[in-house]
Amino acid sequence: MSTLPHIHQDPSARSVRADNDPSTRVLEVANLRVVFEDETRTVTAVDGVSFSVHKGRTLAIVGESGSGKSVTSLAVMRLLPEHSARISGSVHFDGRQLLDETKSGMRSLRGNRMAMIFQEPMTSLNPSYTVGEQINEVILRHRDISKKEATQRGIDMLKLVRIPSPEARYSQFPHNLSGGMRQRVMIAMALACDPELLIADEPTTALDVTIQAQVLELMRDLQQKTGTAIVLITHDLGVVAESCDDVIVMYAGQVVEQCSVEDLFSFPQHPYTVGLLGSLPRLDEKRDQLVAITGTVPDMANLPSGCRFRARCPFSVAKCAEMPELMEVSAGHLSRCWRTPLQDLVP
Amino acid sequence: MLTTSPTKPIGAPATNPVTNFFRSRLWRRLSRRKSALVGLVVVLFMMSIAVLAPLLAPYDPTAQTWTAVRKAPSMAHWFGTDEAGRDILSRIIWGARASLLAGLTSVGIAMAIGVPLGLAAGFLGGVIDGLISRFTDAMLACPFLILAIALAAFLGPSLTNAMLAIGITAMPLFIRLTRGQVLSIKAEDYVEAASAVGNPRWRIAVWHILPNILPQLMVQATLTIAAAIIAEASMSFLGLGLQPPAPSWGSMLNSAQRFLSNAPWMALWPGLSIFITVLSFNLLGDGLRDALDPRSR
Repeated sequence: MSTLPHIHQDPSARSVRADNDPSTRVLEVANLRVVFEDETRTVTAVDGVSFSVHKGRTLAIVGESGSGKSVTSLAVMRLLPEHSARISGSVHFDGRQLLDETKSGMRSLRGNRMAMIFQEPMTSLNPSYTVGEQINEVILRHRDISKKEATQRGIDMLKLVRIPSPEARYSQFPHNLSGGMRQRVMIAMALACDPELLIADEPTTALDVTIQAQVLELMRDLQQKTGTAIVLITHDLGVVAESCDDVIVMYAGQVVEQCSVEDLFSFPQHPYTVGLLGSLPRLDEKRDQLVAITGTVPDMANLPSGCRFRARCPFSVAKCAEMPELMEVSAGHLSRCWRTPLQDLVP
Repeated sequence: MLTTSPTKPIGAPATNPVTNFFRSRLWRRLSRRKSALVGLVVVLFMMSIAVLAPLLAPYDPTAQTWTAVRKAPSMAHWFGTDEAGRDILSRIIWGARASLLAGLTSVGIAMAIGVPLGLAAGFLGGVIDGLISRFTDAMLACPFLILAIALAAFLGPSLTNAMLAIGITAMPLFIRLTRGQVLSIKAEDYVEAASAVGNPRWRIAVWHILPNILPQLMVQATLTIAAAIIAEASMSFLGLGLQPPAPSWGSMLNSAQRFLSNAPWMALWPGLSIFITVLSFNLLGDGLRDALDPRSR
């Protein structure tokens, strides 16, 4: 379908990691903590998360519901309610510390240089306005151009995300469009101002599988054209394998493993990642039964001491009562586990 | 990076707003409901009577004819005459002006104050919401008509003051409705998406939330017009509305009560007019509510 080279073609080129090259770094998050407080309890939803995203690359944030991946992205965009969420750490974007940015400073960045796509395309567009009016709004907010030019730009964007007959779709309402089509419109809106950073929060979760593949391929192609850095939040490891360069795995608000996509699938170094991979159906191995991770995610308001995965971990030992740091297993591959490397261990 | 050549003019609406309305889903759903259609037709009929009153009325509504006092309906006076020999048909036609004007204006006042307050309460929340909501609760604790009459008595008897009093009394209905609707729309994904593209808060409230609650406001407005017409008639009946000799359905009923046994037509026509107008607005309001109800789609 695509004439562009597949970005996963050459693993050796990809393994030359750009992590330490500040010139391509778009977003750098360091020691991000998000604490939600109300009268009755305090929940640390994100606990010391650090990562960076580079131009033209895609970082996946993987984790199950409640692991803090969406909260991380909302904190980066400063979209969390200010009266209930306390955010600390640092978020650097284009040399600016976003956590110290003014509200109007953030508004001029959002939708313009950092954009977001949400999970639910069916409800993320305003039912009262046409597709065109909504794209126009974003463009006119951030670009000093005439309405006519904005309209032209909007139709170009619809064309770019491969919506058939974009001129007609432009003046239609969201209820005239299918889910996949609406997610394309959301992508068009997000990319309308050529953002350096795109945060996609489960962009394909609500779509059916064939449309999922199309949307992911579209995002990949657009990234090739524009060089946008993408943060892809997902719980779907298939999506990660298909479209990402780097991965962080989150569990109970912490990063438990951070590595390249190849390393994640070939040498997973955290028992939780191993468990996630074990629960995937595969075509190349015969599995009688999918292996589920036993137990449940700990209560975020009442976390156990030590390693948070300890109670569910088949490898746990006495030392796990102490909280492990993120430790480097090999170059660029970090894991928060006392027992790494895991290769030779038997549960 | 992007090159296209549009083949036809873009952005321009395909048809004019009137044509668009008759093609809209609302119209299709409303027109399936016979009672709502009847309501709409009568409302439009009453409105045209009010607007065209100077052309339609056969006599001057205030001209007294002492030779034709309390005459029963006849070819000369279709609806009969009143105790001062004035033509009742002409007074009914001119009275439609006072009633509809009072209904529309007072609801306009109620919405102009109530909707922004409800929007502020629902959108901003916190202390502002607390203040506005308690104030609303306090006003709603008083019966509608009693509060309106008390206010009108305080302001002094005139049609303007009656409309003002009814408007202020109906305002909490709109505050409460707007607040509730804003709270539910505020949680929608597209409102979060709107802030994710850099919109300031006031724009999210006015441009993204308000249009989505207009249907509910429209239904409430239609039903409140009916209540306001009754309130205006009641106040005119009590002498707090439009002052005699200017014609109003309420004050016509007031003068008719003294002659109920020997000139019943004096009470019949204004009573019937109020009944039909209020019923029509209610039928239209109910029809709109059904047509806009997402569950019936």
